[in-house]
Amino acid sequence: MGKVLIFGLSLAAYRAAANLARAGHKVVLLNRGEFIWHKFTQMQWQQPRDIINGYSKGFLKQVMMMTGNIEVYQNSELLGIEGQPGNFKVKFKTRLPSVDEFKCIGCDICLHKCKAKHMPRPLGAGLYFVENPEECQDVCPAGAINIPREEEKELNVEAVILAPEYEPEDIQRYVGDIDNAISFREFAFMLRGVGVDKRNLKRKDGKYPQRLGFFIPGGFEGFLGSSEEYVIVFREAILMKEMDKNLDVHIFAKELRLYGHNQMNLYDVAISKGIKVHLIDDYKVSEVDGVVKFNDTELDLLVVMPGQRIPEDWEEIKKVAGIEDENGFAKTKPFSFETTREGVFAIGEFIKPISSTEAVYHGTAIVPEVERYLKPPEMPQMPQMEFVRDDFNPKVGVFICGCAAGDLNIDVEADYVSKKDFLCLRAQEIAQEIKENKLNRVVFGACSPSLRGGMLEMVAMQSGIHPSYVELVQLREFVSRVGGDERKANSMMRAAISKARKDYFVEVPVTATKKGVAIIGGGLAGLMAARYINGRVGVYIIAEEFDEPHMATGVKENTLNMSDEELRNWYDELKKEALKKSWHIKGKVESIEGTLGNFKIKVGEQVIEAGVIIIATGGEVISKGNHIAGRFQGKTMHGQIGSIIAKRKNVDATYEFMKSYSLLDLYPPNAVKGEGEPIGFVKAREYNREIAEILGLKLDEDGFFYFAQEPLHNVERMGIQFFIAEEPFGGVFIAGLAHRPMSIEEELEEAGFAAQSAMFLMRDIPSPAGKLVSTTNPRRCAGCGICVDACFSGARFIDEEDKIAKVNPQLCLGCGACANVCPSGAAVLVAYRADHMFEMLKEVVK
Amino acid sequence: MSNEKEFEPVIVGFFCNWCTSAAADLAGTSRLHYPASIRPIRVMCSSTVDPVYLIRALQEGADATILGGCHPGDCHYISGNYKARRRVVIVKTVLKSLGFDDDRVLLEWISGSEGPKFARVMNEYTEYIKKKGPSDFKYVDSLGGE
Repeated sequence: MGKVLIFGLSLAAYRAAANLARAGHKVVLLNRGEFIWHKFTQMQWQQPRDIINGYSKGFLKQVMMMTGNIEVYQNSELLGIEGQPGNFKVKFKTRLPSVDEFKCIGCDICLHKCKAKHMPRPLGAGLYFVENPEECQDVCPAGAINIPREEEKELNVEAVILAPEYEPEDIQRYVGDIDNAISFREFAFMLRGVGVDKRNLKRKDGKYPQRLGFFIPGGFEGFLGSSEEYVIVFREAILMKEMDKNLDVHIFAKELRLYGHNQMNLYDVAISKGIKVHLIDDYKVSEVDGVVKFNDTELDLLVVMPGQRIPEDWEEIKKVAGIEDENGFAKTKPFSFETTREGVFAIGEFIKPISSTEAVYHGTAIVPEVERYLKPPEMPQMPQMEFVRDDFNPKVGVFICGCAAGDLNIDVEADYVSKKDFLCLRAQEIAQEIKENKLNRVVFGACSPSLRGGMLEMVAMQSGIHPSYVELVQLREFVSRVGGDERKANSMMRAAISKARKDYFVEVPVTATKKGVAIIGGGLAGLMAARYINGRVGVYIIAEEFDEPHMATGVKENTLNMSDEELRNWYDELKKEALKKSWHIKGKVESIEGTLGNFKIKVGEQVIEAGVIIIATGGEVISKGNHIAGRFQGKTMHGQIGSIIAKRKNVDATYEFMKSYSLLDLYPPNAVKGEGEPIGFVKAREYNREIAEILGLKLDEDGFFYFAQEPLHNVERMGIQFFIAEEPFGGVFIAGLAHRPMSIEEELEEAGFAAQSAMFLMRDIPSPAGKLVSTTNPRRCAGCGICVDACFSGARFIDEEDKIAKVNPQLCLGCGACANVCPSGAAVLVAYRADHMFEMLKEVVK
Repeated sequence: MSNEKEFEPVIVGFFCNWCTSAAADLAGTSRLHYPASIRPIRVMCSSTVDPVYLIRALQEGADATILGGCHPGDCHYISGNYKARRRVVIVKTVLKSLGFDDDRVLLEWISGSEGPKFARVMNEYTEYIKKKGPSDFKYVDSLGGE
């Protein structure tokens, strides 16, 4: 079991910590704040309303609880890293917070008995701060109150990942001191929590702005950013227009850095909704009598989306860690996350301005990179449990938590009723009472499943009650804390008891995964992925030929910080390593059968069996192309390359080239609209169409693959990040130029993401839906296939032999859409049936 | 069952596990009070909610139902909320064409961080239903059932 230290908690770090822990390694997290989220991530600065915010933290906590592999030190400061990779000695300073957020059960006792403050937060109890912990330690039943004491610690780890957080630029730098100009964060905060509503959008003077302008200073001096700023602003502008059709919405930008997958579509949507997009060469902002004048446009409110600033403390971090600097960021080796110091890695916004999608890629792709220095992972072995199984003689035990019920007097009838203070701290007692009374159903009246309610399910499991026999009522958050009365509490409890009486035992199926990864196509990303997976499971590369590196970058010339010869050597080495342990199968894919965990791929005479498919078909390069016309027709031009080459070769860049990552914003090339020599752009391979047809995947207008999803405005951003597990991808990952035009560095990120995600799926796993896994009643199923269309994850299919719908439990996520659409009642979630709902409805309205 | 002095409605809320239930959680941890007439039922996804559930809730004696899901594009199950939206439109049409009040079914998008919005919607909707008075739907017992 390896041990990794992660310093800082950027979005990439959240993912890295969770992914390393899931891969079976110990993770030490050094958080710089008093609590997790104290220091904002990029997402929280840029778009605090984004759903990713909540889920990143929720995911981390969930993995922490499930694996027990993550250790967190709050208020920490890195003091030094000594030693060699595989044996680092890391010194750091840390201070315990007054309340340990991982131990806190949110019972509120400290609020009444101590000098304490509470700050509500999504997914959890919120945060508590105790001013007088010395006198208050005994008050907390969970022992979460600490006396903050600063201490120095030393830990032995095998690798270090540096991922300190983002800081935004001050908007005054772009627009000066203007009353009615606000940063995007302030703007987003107006609507945060309270909803997108006209009532909530106000200027400083309290008036609703009739004319709203967004300004993204990308390309102007002092701006560091990625496509993220543009995507966020365009999406928000569209949302504002949807909220109020009469609102006058303007977007000002020098260039449109919408170079991610199909992101240009946002521009088209914005125009079609009547948003005015101004492409400006220069700007002048002034304000007269509360009216902002941006060039010639009059606005009531100007929202400025700042870029990234390089935080001052990064200097210190780089010095302490002993790594080199590049333009203020951490310097990494070519095509790697490793810094100039071996065994020390850097991810996220610490290496370049990135978008949140890339942060997620970084957080996954780092795993195989770091694993080079780590001891082999260890997977926790789940003890074999024997569960009580009795579907027809329910004996319901009700446990009511005093902390959750508060002053409410709950009076329900069941076979056994027990009231206790702090159920979550009395696992032993509960287990004993369950055994003594021979209960086979348990109803807990407690708190949120994202807090301690989820833990109670484990308590029941330890006493032999399967989760499908357990019901949880959120008495605390849904009743006692929101002014609920006894009638409400009792009706909710009775509903749960009546549901519990009808609960059936659900055997959660475990699917055996065919251990093996098939890589389709000879793209560079495929080779990179093969190198990562090699030696762990079998790799089959199905390709007629391999892309050359210059082909894969999308430009004719070498744009990297290395000579052509070095690039050639790197590529030869990569190819050699990738092909050393994998099977290269020459030919084209003819057909693919099966689903995640069990694909059968036919190539010529051969049939290849693999659990996961990675599509890396690469792309073709057109050296001459009409870029400017192309851009507005939704063509995707390559991002990073353009401005790098412009800088290196001293070419006057066109605006096309400027659609770039902004490391080069430090040295903006001499840009003239419409001038300059086109370098080339990437065209999707025709082969994509064949593969898409075989696998039923969606292609965008330009022929690049989508992950199998329905993204909002056809812009793939949210979907990828929202998933915290790999199963929803259905065992098919897209990497490299098959997905969109990108640079080698970006290909590496996607290849690493695909490779590690594939590795996560190489286990025999119980259905991710758990007890909510969908099943088919074969006697009722007519084989109509409506459920197959309704299933978003592709878990349902019509069995060829029996002509009825069946479920691949590895893909099922338990949403219940199939049960809803089934006309004959054949598709059911055994743990959540219609008769359950009818029973509950009868009780809940009383 | 209702009090003579003031009508206390019963509103059944079907809240999706990932967004609206999380918002209800947040409203709870933030101690934002809303009327006790809201009876939450946690469902995995708003697309789990069959039109029959909504109608059955009204039939069992609820004065209104509210279905809460994730914002468009944010659905944990990619397209579940779109399915729910289509269904609610149909339920409303059916109720209306049968001569019942279609305002007694409400669909709201409330994301996990929108605790205050959750409380506001619950307050406003309860006020609205209070003004409307008790539902006449619950007296219809010929709509199937046991």
